[in-house]
Amino acid sequence: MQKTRLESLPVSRVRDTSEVIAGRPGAPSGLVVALGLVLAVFLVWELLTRLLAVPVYILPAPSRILQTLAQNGQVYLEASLLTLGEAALGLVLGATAGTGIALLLGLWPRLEQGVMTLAILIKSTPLVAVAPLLTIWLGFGVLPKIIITGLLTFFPVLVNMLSGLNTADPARLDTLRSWHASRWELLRFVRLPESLPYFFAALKVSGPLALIGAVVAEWTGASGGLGRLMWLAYTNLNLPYLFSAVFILSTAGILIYSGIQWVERKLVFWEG
Amino acid sequence: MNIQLHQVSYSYPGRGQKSFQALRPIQLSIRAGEFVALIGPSGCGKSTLLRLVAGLLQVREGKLLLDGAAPLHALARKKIGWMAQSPALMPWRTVIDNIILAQKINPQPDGQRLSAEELLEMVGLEKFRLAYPHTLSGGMQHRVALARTLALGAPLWLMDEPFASLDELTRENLSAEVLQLWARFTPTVLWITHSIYEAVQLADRVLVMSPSPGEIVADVRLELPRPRLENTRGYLAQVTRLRRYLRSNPGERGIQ
Repeated sequence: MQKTRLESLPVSRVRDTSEVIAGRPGAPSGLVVALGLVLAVFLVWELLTRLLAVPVYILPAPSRILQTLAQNGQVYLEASLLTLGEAALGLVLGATAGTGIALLLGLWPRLEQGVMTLAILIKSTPLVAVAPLLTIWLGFGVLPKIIITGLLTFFPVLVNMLSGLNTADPARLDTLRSWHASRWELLRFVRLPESLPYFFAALKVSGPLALIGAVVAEWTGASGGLGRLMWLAYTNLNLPYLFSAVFILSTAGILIYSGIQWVERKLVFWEG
Repeated sequence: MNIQLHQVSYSYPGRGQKSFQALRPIQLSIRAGEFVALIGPSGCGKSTLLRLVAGLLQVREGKLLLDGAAPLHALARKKIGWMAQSPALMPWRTVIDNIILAQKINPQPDGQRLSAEELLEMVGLEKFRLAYPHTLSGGMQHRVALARTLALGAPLWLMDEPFASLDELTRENLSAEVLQLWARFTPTVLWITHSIYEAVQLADRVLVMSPSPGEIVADVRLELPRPRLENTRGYLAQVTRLRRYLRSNPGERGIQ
């Protein structure tokens, strides 16, 4: 009797420790939990707005927002493509500048204090003050949006890359030095690959920030994009329109974050 | 490659005026092809001495010569094989690429340089040439690091407790392989260890260092035939002798 009880324990089903850490086999995955939570929030939101009869110009119900989205599909699609494009280009600009400056400081550490002071100065300048200026100087096109997004996203990349480059394993560096490697070779073969996880950590912060950058920049004056739609909706107190844009931005933020995470797992395969 | 140290001492620059003396003046001569073990309490300056020989630290006091030239000169001419306690492999490169990297950074062929494939075969890992280091066991990673240390065909191997993090059985196996490789390539070896047994197992000569700031308090030549068996009288006598030197005060000199 006791023997059968022992055998019925599901020990053999656990194949490796990662399965134990991730939870029991058959437990709901992270994605299912997340979707469930979002749905629950929407459900409560929907019920509250209906039960309390909240006017649509104060808080529209999720069903009303989705209806607005469906009815204006073409408008939102065009605006989204523009804003996402600006955010993507701005992020490329910011990440390239951040990485580039970090590499320069990695090769010539003496420059670090001066350059970092300048970087912090740029970082701490309020964007809402800079954005209208750039619009005045550069017009209503996409260029000022890309620049603003770049300014917003370069700092996390710079700071993280600098940490990454400076925390390279001393034993690896010694090994390369014992081969008489140059400063550039140390950077290329050890410090740069070792900072890759830091780069992705920065992108996960900067990716969603890029969306905010593009929208804030559009808010201060633009010929199109989700920011402009939001601004128009806001001035007309058309809250379903405003929330529709917010829905799109939130979804895009999650997708960008997940996308970055996916690429990270492919490229930084040796960690975790 | 022979190693000559004339009154070499070393102090690490500290903050402000204070500096930390790691080594007292050291006078030492090592012949080409000798297998020398360096033992001493932790923090006594063993690694500092090894780094000075490797040219990873600059000699500022005294004179250090490798075949009559300064270490940096030897380094530039790829005459040093370096191995540290951690295998320090590049986890983003395959096993074979880790070895090739050494030869890529030092492109000129150095006489009898072996190919990366031959080196892997020597340490018995030819089947794992395309594996990534994190998929290998600790012992296998150290084998790769060992193969990489030989990749430049250097006549001087500087080993900083290379197998200290491994279990005993793996360490014994790898030590036996190192002895075979040493017999085949006849390099000069300077091997740091904190294990008296490892020193007696491997070396022709054992240098015992005092606590910090380190100096050499005993220079013991081991005239034991190989392979050395742990339970023989000669072996145990040497272990006892070295232990006595290690326990002696730093002021008491026991140079043979």
